[in-house]
Amino acid sequence: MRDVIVIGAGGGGPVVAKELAARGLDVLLLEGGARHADPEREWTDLEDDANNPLWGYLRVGPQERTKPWWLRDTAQNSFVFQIAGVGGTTLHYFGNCPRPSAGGFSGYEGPDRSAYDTAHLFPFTYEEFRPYLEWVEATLPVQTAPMGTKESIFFRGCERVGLPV
Amino acid sequence: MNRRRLLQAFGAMCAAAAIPRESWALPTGADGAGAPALVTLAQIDGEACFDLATFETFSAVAAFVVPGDDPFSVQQGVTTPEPGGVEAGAPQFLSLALNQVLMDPTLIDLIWDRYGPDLEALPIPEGLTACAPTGSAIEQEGTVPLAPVVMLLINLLAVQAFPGSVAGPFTVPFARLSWAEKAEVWRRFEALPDGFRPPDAPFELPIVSDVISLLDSLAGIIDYASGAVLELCGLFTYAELLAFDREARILTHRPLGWELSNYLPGLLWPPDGWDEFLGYYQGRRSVDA
Repeated sequence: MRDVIVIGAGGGGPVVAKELAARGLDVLLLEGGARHADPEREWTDLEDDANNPLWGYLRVGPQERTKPWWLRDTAQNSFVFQIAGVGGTTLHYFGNCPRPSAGGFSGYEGPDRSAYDTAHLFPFTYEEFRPYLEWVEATLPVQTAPMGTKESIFFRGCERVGLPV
Repeated sequence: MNRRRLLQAFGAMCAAAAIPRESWALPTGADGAGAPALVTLAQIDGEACFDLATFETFSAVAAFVVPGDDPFSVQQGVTTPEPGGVEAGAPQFLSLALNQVLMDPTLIDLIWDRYGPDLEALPIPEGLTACAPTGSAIEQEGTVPLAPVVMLLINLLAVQAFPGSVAGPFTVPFARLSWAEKAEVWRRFEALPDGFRPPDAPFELPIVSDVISLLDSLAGIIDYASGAVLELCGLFTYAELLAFDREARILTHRPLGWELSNYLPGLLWPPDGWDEFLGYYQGRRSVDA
């Protein structure tokens, strides 16, 4: 008999499982998607093989790619690029870990506060959340990202139109 | 009738139901005096009939998205000197993709458990009966073979918008249209779910809420299909599908789409990144956020 069963080994499940296990609980972590254990051998850099939402390896579906993908029902006609499997949708983000915008948290009084979805603010302040961000950043760890051509063009564009970076 | 067959029949029913009933009566006249296209389909037995209708419909769609030098592009009056979506294999992969749609399994169970025997007895409009496929590349319980539903919808909308398309070259009306006429069909396709989706209803009766949730789900599938079909045609045209050996994990030749888009000229495999390290923005190595 397990103490806790965590459903899903995406971005959040393994963290919860690890923290609970580190406190002495017997934890079972379940995942319905692919393991992605050996990407050097299993993956290619080809567009359809990787990104086809129906049968690409970065999809929402079972590990066996001849089986159909899992339908994601959304409230409106839209498609959300998600990935099922160990790592979940974090597999799309190539290790980029931006912090959330402070404007999405309660108590934000910045001059641009009306630009955020103020109807659905987190019920705590950014400052209250900051220690947890720092905890994650120390654990992963997170460091500033280097620039390539694309990044330098992006930054130049931000400067040109006056976006703070 | 098994579960899969039930879904096929139900899909065809819903495709027909989504079109105003007056469109089922195919017009006759100067253009339609010969063999009405949908009846012609029904006169041919089995999967070959369906495959031909699907292939020609989706080829006409592929030519609409990425014109080439194929007969479907010639028919629509918009061509290019080089091959396009048809030659890239978009029609075949589009059919495969649409037949892999997985409905909410609880909804499938609901349909099967409550309405299976009754649905079997429902009449399917004459002309559509033989168009239901008898098989598919994916024989997975619970998938909805959406390709025949989409094929039927596209052609019914084509006849509704342009009655003269019931006769002419090819076996399906949509393939006979000009590029601008295809665009009009697609405008109607995209607007279809607005009239098909039921309003929010306060009914508590289980059967009413079942039907409403079923209609809502089907409207969502049609909504999805009208956009996804075009997007998938683009993906399949410019990606590596026909050139990729999945067993060996190699490209047997440069994909047609790579040539069309001049992607990685001269290369047979994408490089593993680029040697372009440019340092750190403003020399920043830490952030105070």
